[in-house]
Amino acid sequence: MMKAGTKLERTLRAGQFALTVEVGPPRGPDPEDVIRKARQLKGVADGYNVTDNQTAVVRMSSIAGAKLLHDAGCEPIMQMTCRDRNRIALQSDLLGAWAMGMRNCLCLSGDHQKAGASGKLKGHPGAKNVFDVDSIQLISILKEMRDSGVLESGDSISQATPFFIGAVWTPLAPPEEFRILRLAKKIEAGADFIQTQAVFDMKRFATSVKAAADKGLTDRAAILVGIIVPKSARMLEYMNANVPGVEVPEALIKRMAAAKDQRQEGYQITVELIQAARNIPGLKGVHLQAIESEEVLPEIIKSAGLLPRPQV
Amino acid sequence: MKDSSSSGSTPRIVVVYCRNAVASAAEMLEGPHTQKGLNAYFAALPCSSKVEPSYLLKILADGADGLLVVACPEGKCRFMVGNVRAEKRINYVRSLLDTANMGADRLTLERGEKLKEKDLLKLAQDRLGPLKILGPNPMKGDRK
Amino acid sequence: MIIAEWKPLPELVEVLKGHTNVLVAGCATCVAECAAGGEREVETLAPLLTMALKKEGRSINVRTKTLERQCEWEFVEELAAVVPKVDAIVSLACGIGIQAVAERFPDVAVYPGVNTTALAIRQEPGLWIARCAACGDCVLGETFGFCPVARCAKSLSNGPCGGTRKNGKCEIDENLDCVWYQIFERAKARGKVEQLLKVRKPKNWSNSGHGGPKRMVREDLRP
Repeated sequence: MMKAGTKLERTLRAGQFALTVEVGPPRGPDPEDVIRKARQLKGVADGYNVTDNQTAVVRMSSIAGAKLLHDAGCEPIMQMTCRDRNRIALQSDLLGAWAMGMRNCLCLSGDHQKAGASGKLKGHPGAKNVFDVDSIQLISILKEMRDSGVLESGDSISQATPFFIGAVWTPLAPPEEFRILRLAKKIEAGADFIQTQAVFDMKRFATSVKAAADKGLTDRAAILVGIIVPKSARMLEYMNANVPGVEVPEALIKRMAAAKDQRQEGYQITVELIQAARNIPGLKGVHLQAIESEEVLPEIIKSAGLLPRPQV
Repeated sequence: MKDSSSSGSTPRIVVVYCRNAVASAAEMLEGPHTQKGLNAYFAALPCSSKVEPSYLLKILADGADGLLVVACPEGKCRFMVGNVRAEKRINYVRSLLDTANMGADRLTLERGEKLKEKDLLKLAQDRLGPLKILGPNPMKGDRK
Repeated sequence: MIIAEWKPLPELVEVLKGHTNVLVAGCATCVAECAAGGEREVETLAPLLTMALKKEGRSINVRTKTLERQCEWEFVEELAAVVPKVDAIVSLACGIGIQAVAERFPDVAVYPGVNTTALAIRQEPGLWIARCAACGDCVLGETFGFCPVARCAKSLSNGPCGGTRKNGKCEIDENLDCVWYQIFERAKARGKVEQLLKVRKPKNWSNSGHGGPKRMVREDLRP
């Protein structure tokens, strides 16, 4: 039964290997910054994630960025965190987003404002955070608004809002044995699709997917593996040491360090990761991220043999 | 005799020392001592850990230009870690003195063992130069 | 206990520049327990303030008094004898005590000498860690004795988020244990992991400060 009828949903239902990409909104109000990315990425993915003040850095809102993408012909996946808005604002924004054509929404807790920017920006570490609800409660809220036309309060809205609901899975963050149980919780709460934290070891990730399949989770929700395009050995080392849930095999770092052209090597590694992902039973797609360099994605996606995207 | 490099008066220094750092009871100095160019006051403690931040600050608020605490060497405290506690408290008060713009170096810690009277006097004398550079305590004259 | 920490000295110096007779008032309960405002700290701050102001060219006369608790009117009354002699009070009590003093003595300037920060336990000597957020909707019985509101940086009801470090610490503070990691470990040790599988509904925050300034009444205890 179709939940929201988005391209991502239709692609998955058709049994096709899905592809989503991430678009980072600008640290400014210029719509052209988003439209330019839309032009570069048109047609290369089934859904386009727009982040929500990621790392608590103020950027154009996810809803605004998503609307601009939508109007430029790229079907957006709005991202919503629980850090900055209470349930009133979240539900209100969902009504408004739906009114403007948004149909995909990824629910996240959100980076704490202390995680801040990476030292270059001052950020807003002194801001008061909200966290009125958490990501799993947000998933439930979307589900109720979609399936029953009812808000968290129990009050009705004038019309139900069909959304294709997404959640995040970080299989390798401690405590590892609980992560699969929490994934089950998210699916129980109503998640239709899952995008994972970046994976650099597909073999290891395959065992996590198998564990999910054994619990019947891969049939109830579509899991897309997160892949970040590596730019340098230093970037891989940084992520391995500092980003919870991200583990980069030593061999991969060595390979990058030894490469004559680290950027090119990064593209090659990405393509290999995508191909390895396609061979994991139960895995339904890939979520590709090229941080601050979305323009490299079309070439990589083409090299991975994922173009043209299936018409569904 | 006026020394042209000084403000004219000798810095007043209070020396608070652990009596276990001294060689014998005969070597202990108590009260004011003005020999050898000093304007000093000596007091013995049963352990250097007896120094409390409030106590150290009151001595300085009373007008002492400098305060020297003498403790036993590391690992040789008769009460095991008394001299460790003393150092932590002294470091704390030094940081407080900095926030008050009084100068952390008005309060210093020295360690010694089997000290004789002349050693105590020398420790006090060694502080005169640095204290002259720091300048007189603005609290001078306000002493209650 | 309620924990607090000294305001930076330059801030206190700035507000006291316009005063001559100052009372530093301490409290022998919570703030004494966290070494911020008990008698010891009062007797440390008083000479320090005197010297700091003298450095700025101001001679102030500082008196000190430490009450058993500044949040009880009977104790606050003990200041009545000394308040007429001063033109400013620096209170080292928590925000509750400071306000009680300000309410009882509305004609004299009352300044906070500390920033009140949290409800905490003294985990070890010299180390205080927040434990309670006064959320008014306690779930400790369901989280195996670990508070997810006060001890999770995001106050998650269905944690952990993806930010648990390899060593079980929180992403935003390497000294902070990920409380959801701790909750899971405790659940596992008790053989009750299935209790964590239930999706916990959004909290009702209205019984805490979020519902408006709290007012608690017991009719049976009213005069």
